[in-house]
Amino acid sequence: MNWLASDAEMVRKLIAKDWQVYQKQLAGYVGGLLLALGLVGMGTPLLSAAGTLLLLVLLIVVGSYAIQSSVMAERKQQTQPFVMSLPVTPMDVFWGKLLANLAIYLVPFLLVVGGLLALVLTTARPDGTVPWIALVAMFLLANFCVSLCVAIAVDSEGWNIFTMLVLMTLIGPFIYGIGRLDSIARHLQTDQIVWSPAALGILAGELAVILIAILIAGWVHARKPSFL
Amino acid sequence: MTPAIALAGVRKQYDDFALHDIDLELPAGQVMGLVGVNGAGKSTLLRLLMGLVRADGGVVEVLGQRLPQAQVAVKREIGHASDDMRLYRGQSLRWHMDFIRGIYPVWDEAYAQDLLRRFDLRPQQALGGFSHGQRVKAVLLLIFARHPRLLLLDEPTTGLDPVARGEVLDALAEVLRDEERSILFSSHNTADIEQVADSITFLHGGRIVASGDKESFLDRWRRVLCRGTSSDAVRRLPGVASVRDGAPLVEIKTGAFDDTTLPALQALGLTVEKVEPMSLEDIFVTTVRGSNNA
Repeated sequence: MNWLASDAEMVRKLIAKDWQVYQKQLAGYVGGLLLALGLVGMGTPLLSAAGTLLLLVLLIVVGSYAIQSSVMAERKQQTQPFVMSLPVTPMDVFWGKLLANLAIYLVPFLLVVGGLLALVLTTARPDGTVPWIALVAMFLLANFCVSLCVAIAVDSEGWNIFTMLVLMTLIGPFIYGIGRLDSIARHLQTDQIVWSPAALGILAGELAVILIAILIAGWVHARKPSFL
Repeated sequence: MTPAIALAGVRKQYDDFALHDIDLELPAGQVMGLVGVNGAGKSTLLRLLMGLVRADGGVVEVLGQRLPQAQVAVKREIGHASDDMRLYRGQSLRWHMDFIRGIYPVWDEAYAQDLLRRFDLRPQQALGGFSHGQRVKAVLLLIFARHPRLLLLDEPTTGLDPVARGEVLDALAEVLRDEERSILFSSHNTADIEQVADSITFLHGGRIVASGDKESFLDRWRRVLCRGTSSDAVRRLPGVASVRDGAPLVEIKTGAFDDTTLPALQALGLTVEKVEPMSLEDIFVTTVRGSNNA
């Protein structure tokens, strides 16, 4: 079993293909995210809260949209046989799909996270929220990666939707939970950026989840008897 | 000369269907028609040849290379179209042409433009607005314009109106002028197969029930109408696939018609009234019914 792509150039073309196919819709989401960032930057508590909520919702929606349209819908709309008829191995398609979706998601994700961090660090807002923002952002990224890996590895639309819904329901409790962690909560209103062992541990856990999800999806994909 | 396709003892098991010990060879430069009813295993066989499905056993060689190990090299030389293959609805045909051109350096833009005119396709139109016939022609354009050595076409004319079907078959006929090119063409429409194929394989219930060149198929099979009464001895004659007693005439369909057939029938007390050639469809139906009864 070969886990690697056979042709990096071909994988690049598959990524570019997905990017071109979904860039218009992505531009719409990016527009919405910029609007939400603008609301956060307005400074008033109400607009800031509304902007933060909108950012969170849009980040979740853009992730679901990317997975549904580029993985699940491709199966349903039967464009997968076309892609598989190209000179590619199943693992080329796996890496192409994984990296294309990461690229599609990381554009708005980095825009939001970068924008939020810039807002926090350049305005009067307490800088102590930086670790909290990083943990929540990384949780959203891990959430997306696990959903994506399940969608690539498992053909069943029902299981994919179930996984996405379950993971989405974890976001609220996670945000609540880390806000209650003393080593994180006590710095939220200060200007001190403190990376406590607990925060670093959670961050490492999130990265590990992403890595494990990718490894398992690759392992499952490489053993599939059929690629349609 | 290396055959375009060589399958030996190929098996594939699904929950409700199995492909059994398929041995098949397509010589280079030949057109083989793969005929079978829906669910006979035609698509599975073609997917095995594309490396899209892994065989449970046996050897799959395409253009002299083993699959799935050499699938990337092999797929560079194969054009594959199937009726369950779709292009991206939101993208134009021109976008698809540019995408394929970026992958295959042999892309022939002049030929692609010629096919656009002949198929009456608008390159800037999004695929979502194409009819089924236009979609099939678009897929074939993307394949033909890169001049593959082997074409694997899975039911390419299914669902097409007569005009589109004629255009597709004309384009195929033109492709066939290249003697180096091999084609495996699956269909349950025997008229299309009869029009383009050099050899024919009947697939039924996941097994090859007959395979040979088209002319010998058509030469071997005859419908013989006799006067008299049929007997088990008639049914046991070599090649007899069907005997229908409709007094006073007996209809006998045989797949081994030769100089000895008529004397053998006469020796069994039958008077031969008429000997007719059979259409490929009739041969196929008779063969399939024979294999069901076996």
